[in-house]
Amino acid sequence: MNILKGTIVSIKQSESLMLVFMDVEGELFNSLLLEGDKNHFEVGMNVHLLFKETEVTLATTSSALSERNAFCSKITNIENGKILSNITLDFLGNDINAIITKGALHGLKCKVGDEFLWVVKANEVTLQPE
Amino acid sequence: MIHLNITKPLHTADGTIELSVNKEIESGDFLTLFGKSGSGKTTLLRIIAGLETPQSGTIVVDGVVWFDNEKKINLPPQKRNVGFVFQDYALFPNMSVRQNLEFALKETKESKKVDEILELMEIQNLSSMKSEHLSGGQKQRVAVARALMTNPKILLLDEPLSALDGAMRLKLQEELLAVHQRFGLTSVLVSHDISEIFRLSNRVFQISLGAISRDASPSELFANQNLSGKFKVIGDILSIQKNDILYVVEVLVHNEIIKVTAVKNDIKNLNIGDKIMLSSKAFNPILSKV
Repeated sequence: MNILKGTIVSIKQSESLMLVFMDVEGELFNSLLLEGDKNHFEVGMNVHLLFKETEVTLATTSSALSERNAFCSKITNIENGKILSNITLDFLGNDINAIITKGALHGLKCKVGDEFLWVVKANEVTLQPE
Repeated sequence: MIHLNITKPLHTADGTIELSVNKEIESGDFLTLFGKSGSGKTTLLRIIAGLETPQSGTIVVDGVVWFDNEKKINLPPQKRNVGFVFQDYALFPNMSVRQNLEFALKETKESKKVDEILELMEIQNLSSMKSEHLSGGQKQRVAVARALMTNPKILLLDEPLSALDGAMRLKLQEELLAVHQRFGLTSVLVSHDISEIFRLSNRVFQISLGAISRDASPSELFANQNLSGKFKVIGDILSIQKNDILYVVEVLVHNEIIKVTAVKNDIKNLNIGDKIMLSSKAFNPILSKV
């Protein structure tokens, strides 16, 4: 599980759908939530952002994306399995792990030291109050 | 609404402690009392039923005073409108099921009521059997039926299912929940089984050394983490297998096995047999009609 610490800076709501914006190390993150009336999130609250490695994808730094949770980071490690690869990136001092297929890794020609965009969809980010 | 404000000294293996509770239980709540043995759970249940007398305080149920130490009010159990189900069933072994139920009636000759409850609990076919010849699950069903004979508003359940095996337990949990809803009861359960607590109750009092240390919903209390997940279930880890660079964790939820992938770091503190919460956001599950 990838875990980052952030602070809620704004919340947009449409009935029970909530888009929560967080400041993480000076970068803006989005999390899309479906909440009941008893939601427990508010501006100023410190939260953990949780997302699975298998929900993180990579793109070249010049790619245009619909997803705003896209950040440029340097690859620090690559671990290969038979069909999957785990790529570790350094996001402002935090490890982010992305699990993608080995074929996709070769297609992108990723290697340690390269800069890539890592992307996680807002609806894959779970929030946990600190 | 049950207003409880009572104290009573408890003599436990670790010495004397004071049971001290000041709480309100809402009508319609399915409340669980959870805590270690000797913490006062059963005593609290027996105090509500009138089987034990508090040292001080008051018990007021829907505006009626059941107990008031200063005013010397102490309604006897039969005037308290509660049904009690015990772990050991407490049936008369050599009486038939019907006789056991009739015994609970205040007035005799209410055979219609007996038939109604027998039907409701789906135990008509057992009615002439002696209770000593029944299986554990059947006995507990009869015990629940008997508790319902006096039209209680409050159902007190002292570890009612702990002697039963898994499948029977699940079935009776469903029946208890159905009875609770159908009769609009306020139920108070003593249980150690976290999955049972999740399935049945909407509120939990954690009791330690005679005091209520936490008052929360089961997910707040046991998950101990307010995840913004929408799909949450509690299960037991059956196996953890390495698969490529991932780990596949098999989790038993109710009687189904769910497989979940994890990475090495996720499973660091997980062992086979551990109880875990599975959660997923509202966006992931796919719906398909069966």
